Amino acid sequence: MKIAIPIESDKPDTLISTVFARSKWFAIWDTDLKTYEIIDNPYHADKLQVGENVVWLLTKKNVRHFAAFEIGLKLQNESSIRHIQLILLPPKIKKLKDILTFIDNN
Amino acid sequence: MARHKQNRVLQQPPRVRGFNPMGFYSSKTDSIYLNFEEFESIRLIDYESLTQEQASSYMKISRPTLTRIYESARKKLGKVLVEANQLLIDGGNYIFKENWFECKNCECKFNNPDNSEITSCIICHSKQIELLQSS
Repeated sequence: MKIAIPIESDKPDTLISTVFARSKWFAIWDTDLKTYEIIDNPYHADKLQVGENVVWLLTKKNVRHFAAFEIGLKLQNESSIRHIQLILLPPKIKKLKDILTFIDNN
Repeated sequence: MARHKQNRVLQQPPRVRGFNPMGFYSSKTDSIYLNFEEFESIRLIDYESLTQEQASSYMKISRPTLTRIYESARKKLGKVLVEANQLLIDGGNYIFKENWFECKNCECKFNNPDNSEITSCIICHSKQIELLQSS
């Protein structure tokens, strides 16, 4: 199962981004293999259709779960997101490695 | 007898249960309760920059009702900021647009778009999950 997490930079100790579709990078975390890859978001500065493009970018990589602090209304109402599971992260998870710590401890 | 209040539709639950002022200890009597629909009105109008007409459409209520909810929310937030009260987000007359679950272990919240059976948390795999009930 793959989860997309928006991140502030492409470094391993990066903070999780507060915005989803306009984030410059995503970490795609594979819960089965317990690994992640970092990908660029070439659509982060798009004026129109950024949501639709980001959903396409991530679903192309078989991501069906989006985790973030906040997923904007516009993106939530995209028809392409209807079968994507949305995960709202709690405030105690600030960095990408915080999520990985949860996996390792459970 | 007063008319029964219609449930307001919420897109998603708040991420947190409330806020505490820094450097202050607030007793429970100083707490201000912001209910879920007031939080949603702030989220839609101030955060998502919707008009009141648009926000009322999302919440499935009339525009005047939304205005009253929004004004009540703003008053409460003003009181919290000025008087340094604790803010608790709880209660109200609401239903969620879809099912949302909360993990009691890692405190994340997630929806279930495919209506499949949910038995554990998607992040930490804990089985301590709870369906967030509407009012």
